[in-house]
Amino acid sequence: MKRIKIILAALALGLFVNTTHAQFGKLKDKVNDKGSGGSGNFDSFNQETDELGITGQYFGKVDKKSFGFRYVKEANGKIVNELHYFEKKKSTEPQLKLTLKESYYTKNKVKLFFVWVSASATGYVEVIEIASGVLAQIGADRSQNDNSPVPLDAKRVVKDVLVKDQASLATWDLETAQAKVDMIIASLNTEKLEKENAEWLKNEVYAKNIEKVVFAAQWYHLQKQGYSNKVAVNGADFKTELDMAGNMVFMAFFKNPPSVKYPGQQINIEYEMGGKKTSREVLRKKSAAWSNMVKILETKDWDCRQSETRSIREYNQYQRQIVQDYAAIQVLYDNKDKFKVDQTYEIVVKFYAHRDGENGDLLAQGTVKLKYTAAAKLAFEGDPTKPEVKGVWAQFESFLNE
Amino acid sequence: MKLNFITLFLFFVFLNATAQENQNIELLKLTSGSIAVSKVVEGGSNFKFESTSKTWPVNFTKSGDRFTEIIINRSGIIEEKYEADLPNYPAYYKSSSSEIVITAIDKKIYYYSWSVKTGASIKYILSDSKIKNYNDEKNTIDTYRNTIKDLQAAARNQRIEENTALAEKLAEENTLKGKKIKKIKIIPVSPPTEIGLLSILSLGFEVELEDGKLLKTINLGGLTPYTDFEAQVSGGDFAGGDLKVADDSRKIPNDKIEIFAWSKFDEKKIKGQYSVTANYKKDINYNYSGNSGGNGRGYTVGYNINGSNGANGKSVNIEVTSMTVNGEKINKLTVIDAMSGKIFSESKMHIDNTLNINTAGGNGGNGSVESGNGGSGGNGGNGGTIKISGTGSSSLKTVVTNTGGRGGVGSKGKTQSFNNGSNGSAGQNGTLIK
Repeated sequence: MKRIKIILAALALGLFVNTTHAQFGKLKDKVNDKGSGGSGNFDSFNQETDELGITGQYFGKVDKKSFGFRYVKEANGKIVNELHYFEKKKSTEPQLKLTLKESYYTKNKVKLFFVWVSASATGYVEVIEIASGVLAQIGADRSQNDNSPVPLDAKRVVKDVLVKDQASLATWDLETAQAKVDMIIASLNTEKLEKENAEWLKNEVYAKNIEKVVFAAQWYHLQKQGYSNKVAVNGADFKTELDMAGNMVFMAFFKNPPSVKYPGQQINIEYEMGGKKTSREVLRKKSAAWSNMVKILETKDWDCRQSETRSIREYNQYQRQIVQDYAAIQVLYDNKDKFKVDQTYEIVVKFYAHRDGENGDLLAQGTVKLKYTAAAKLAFEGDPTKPEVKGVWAQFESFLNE
Repeated sequence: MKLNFITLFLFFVFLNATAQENQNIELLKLTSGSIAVSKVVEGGSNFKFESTSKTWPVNFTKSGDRFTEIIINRSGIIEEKYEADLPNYPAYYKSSSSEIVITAIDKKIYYYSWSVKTGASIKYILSDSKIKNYNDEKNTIDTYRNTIKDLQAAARNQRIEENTALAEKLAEENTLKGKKIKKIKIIPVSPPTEIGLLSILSLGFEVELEDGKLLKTINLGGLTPYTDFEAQVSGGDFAGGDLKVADDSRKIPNDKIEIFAWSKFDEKKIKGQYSVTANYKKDINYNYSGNSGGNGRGYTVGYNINGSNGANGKSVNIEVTSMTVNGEKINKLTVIDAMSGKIFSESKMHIDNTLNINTAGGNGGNGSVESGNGGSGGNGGNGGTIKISGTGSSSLKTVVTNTGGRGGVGSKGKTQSFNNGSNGSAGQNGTLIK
């Protein structure tokens, strides 16, 4: 038994050692000149100076060897802004060349260098200076083909901390470095959000409709396919009146993406007509049938300044069936006795942030007139000449009686 | 007797294990100070805890018998503030800027995100006590959150009632129902500059009551609902603060857009009025393109494997009449179906603006893939011919799209033993005659 324990311990140790080297290590294997002279000290780097104050010898927290980093501003008459990484003393060529993300530095003084050794997530190496003489070496969860750092919303994990002064390793453990990296990324994200806001406001359709719900008779009049994060319609087909016999679709414009402003929350959509009001969340809590019918909407899936297109009632061409929000149908049903042919009825649609059964901030609202045309009467009440086809009310009542 | 003691002991253990106390009780078990931290480490689909080398300073803010706030100094360098979700009966403390929430249970502080669908996703546990395995700890926090929700009902209902009462008070103050109206003003949210077909004018209502109080709709910074008003519009349509100008100039009498609005509760029907002359300074877009053919869909009832043909774009004649409207140089456009002679539309547009017209043929649908034999692509439709004539034709700015539709792509057979589909042919481009 004792022997087995020793073998297991040895295996565990082996795994641990392997893991610790899986930092720059894996990349080293790919980029190294085999046999070009082992690790060593890079004292001589400390004699050099550069305008970013990065060049020098560094010591790893996880990979405890020493490494050399050299900031190179110019090469061959061109500004390159590179960080050269050396792990072999005898090598004159760096084992990796990382590129400075210039805008982060010029606007925020954040020194972030990156390199893609391959397009997969494991081939991404990022280095951020988190304090003077302290670098965090970071991996991320995204694969990418273009030569830019992973986006700010990618998950960044600190793999190692590299310091000029070994004594500072007592302060800068992985967790502390991670916290600092998260803080730096959060500040970049805040600026990115403001910049995006300014960009979106240049779009007239967005600027005129912030915090509003807009309506149309076709989903593609609200949002062009593939443009969930960009306004690509001119608003000419937004409607103030819709025929209840046709498609009734809508979309909200938000001041900020709900995923950013209301993290960890839900979205609730409330419908109101003729003094009767209900919402998806109210109905979802009524019964299992309602819970199955009305899906939970979580803010984490709403990461744009415009919502997905949604429908009160719509014929889906691809599925070849009608798609309806039963919460909206409930409000129409509650008003059905008032409906007269060719009269219009206003419906108010509101989007709320929602948490634990309570609505929070009102994110957007809009009002549209619904016209109860003769065709709508047939659709909702049923066509007497086609008794085999149920009208909307009959279908809805079947659901209510489930 | 011994059995009784054991039973009693187990009963108390059970009570202790299952009782869900709110955070005002749970936090009494803790004191502010530095606390050991265990971090969740992902290994594929497995999660485990690893101790971090540093403790994190944590501070609990108490007001009376309530813990209102927790401040965690993450790694000693980032101050994170969390506020009680429900101060009377808190289940967790939430951040205004992240999805992280904090809950303390039996002297363990859980630092996690929460989804109603999947429960807790623990990032750290701050505790000087022993940490169990990830699943057990997740189960502890999931059970706590799901159970305490019911226990929060009284406190939550109280808050909902308070908020509802507040909302009702605001609604009561701002509704027109039961109010005596002296005057209604209809005010553009911003001065309209381009008033053409399908323009949207944002209009708000300001109501002066007999007692001198002013009520406004939301787009003017008030809280009076649009649904308290009725409106009559000439030259367009109104709902929810937006006046949408008509899509055809024949629906705009005297080139003027006018709206009257009144309270639907007001028997006297005191009306506000707003009018604006159309300058037609808005580009016009006409789409008479042919529909694209559907893609083939194998193994689907009602479909076959071949893509269908795109439809031809419509051929149209556009008569352009030059005129002056409200002092502006305008072209009146009458769009006529070249086949039937039917008038599709009549519009007016400032000469500085552009008519975008699309009579392109629809693309052919692609053949179905993975359906045995490859489906053939449908043929593209032909582009429609556009003929522009009349006194204003020389000043009319146009962007014309009348290309023939692309042929659909034939798909390959599923394996070599199946036939490949053939590509459809492209439609012919339409012509522009001016």
